[in-house]
Amino acid sequence: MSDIYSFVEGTTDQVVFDVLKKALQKTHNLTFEGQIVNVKGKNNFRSKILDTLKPEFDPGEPEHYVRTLAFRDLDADEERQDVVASFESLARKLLARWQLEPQFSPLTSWTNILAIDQAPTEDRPGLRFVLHIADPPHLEELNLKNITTDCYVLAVALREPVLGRFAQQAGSQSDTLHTLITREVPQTIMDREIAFDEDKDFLAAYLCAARFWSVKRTEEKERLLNIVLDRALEHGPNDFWSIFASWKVAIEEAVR
Amino acid sequence: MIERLIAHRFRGIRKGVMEDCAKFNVLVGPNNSGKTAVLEMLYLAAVSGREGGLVLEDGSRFEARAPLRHDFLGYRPLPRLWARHGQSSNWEKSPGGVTEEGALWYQLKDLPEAHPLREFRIAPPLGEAGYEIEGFDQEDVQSIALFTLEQPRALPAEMAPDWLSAEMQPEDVRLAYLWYPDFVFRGQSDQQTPLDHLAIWALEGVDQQASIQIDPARVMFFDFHVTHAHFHRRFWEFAYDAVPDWYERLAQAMGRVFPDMDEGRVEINPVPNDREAALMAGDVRLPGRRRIRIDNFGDGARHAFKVLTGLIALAETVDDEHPGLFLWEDPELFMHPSTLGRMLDEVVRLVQEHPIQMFVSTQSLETIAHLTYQASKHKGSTKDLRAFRMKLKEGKLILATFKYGNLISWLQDGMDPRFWGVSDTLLSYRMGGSQ
Repeated sequence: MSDIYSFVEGTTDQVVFDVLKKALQKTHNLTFEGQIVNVKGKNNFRSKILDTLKPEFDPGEPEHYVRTLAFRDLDADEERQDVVASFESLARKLLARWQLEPQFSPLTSWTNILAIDQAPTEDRPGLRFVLHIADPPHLEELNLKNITTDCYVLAVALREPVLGRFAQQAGSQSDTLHTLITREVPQTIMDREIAFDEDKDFLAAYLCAARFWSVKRTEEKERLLNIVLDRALEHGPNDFWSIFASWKVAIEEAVR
Repeated sequence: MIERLIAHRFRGIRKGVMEDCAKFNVLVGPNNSGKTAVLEMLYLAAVSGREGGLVLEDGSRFEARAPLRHDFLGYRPLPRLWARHGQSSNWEKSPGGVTEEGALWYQLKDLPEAHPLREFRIAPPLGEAGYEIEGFDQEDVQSIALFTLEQPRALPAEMAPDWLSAEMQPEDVRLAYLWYPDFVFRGQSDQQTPLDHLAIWALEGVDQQASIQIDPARVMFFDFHVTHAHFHRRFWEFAYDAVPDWYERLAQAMGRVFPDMDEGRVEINPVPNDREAALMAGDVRLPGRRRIRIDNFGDGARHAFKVLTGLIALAETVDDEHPGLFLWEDPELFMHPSTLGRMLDEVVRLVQEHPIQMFVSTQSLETIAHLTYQASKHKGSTKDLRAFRMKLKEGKLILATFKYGNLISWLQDGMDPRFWGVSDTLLSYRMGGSQ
């Protein structure tokens, strides 16, 4: 069984990763050990990964792979190649003792998944570093300015198997909730010249329309995410695995 | 200060380099990962301060040192290690003897005839007029199986493994040789070259002028055997004379570690019925109560009392010219976590304020976390902390080096630096007031 150091940007990624890890173990027989590290913001990836991983290369265990997985969002003002370059520089720093300059290569079928494979030798550890940059399914009806893991969850949440159950609990219909979440609530708010263009805004509208606070008696976003993902896995697994296909591939690539 | 250890065939370690040591060093890792062996190598090399000369068959002579007859706590260095590994504390079948001139001679028959260390002598130092030379005697034959060479330039090439020669800086090294067979690594395809019959290791310092600097007489190795033993009178006599207010300081420290001993007094008295009058024991007097021997307390109190007794004495007798080395095996032994924390506070304070380098082996996450938290509290101390996660792979010492930033990051994220491989083990600890 592989050990993997996993780094995520925030709470949503952490919840998604945990759900995926359990689901992969249960339905795909893919098991791995490893505690996930929430770096709490994209600007902390570098310091957190260096602080966590440097001991493994100082000097670390020869003939042994250090496996690393990072899930990174892509904000509106960012270019993918810049994100890749910053992670490459980080990998170089990890391997600086041996003056190696590893480079990320995109996977053939997934351009948002990039990997470094610096094989171990008898004198030093190797590094297998998989970088997943968020590239969720396009949500046509929403005009989102950023690309984050919340988009993936929103995509799952707006599919009928999940939305239908929330509608039922709220005493409404899926179509009604869908319209509320994607058009009416955003429009009402934007009419007052309040910005409504992030995936998080739409998740908040989702919470509101589904009467989540009243029905579940909690306002915790993690709780909503877990329920959305669990319902999707139970009632619409094909949708779930289709939307999170690149996450699954990234994890498989790190474990490999 | 010791900055680097290069090891060749000492006990379970076939080969290994530990580098970037700091003032506070924590050794962690699974059982049989080499932690104790590292402490023992540091101890034996550092305590070797008895001057002499290594004289080879061809007459060449190198400045050498043998272990002191007694270490800081009054133990005979090699015999105490032999005893803790269940062996006789006298090497009856030592392959050596003593000459009329007081030199030790050795014949290592496992080495080829032509090898420089096949036959050698450890001679007393060359004295100047009026300088009294202390020769070796029969007791030394049975308790010395080790010499060290200080900055060994022009050493015959056959006297150091190639890889070790390539690693070490001869101008800044103390090189130790040990020929006690049970302390020499034995592996599956081992002992193919003459030097494989010896344990050889090098300590390097950060100060190029004075090598590793540690004063051999200021080396304190504290393990659980010391917890369960009485003090040697030799140690007591030295410390009683040298340390002002020794008992008062000890009483105050014990009061801070064990609040119910606050306002108690301590003293150290001869052990009754000790025919040789060589042993001393600690006594505690609590207000309104009769004197209680420390060995009648629980093991945790005994541990704290004895380690603080020694460390207070060590701290008060070191200076920049005579820096000390404190080696501590399993500080957590017998200790409740809260008591452990308070004892570590005392220890860190004593080490922090004095020229003492500390190496601790531990299995305790509380010890790691507490030392990390202590480093965060003392300005400028974060650079003084290292943790080395260790393991042995076919005898090769594998290390992962944690600096303060690594440790704090791991601990705050609930990760366990003791484990090789990422662990899902759930942890429950608190990083003091840092969160």
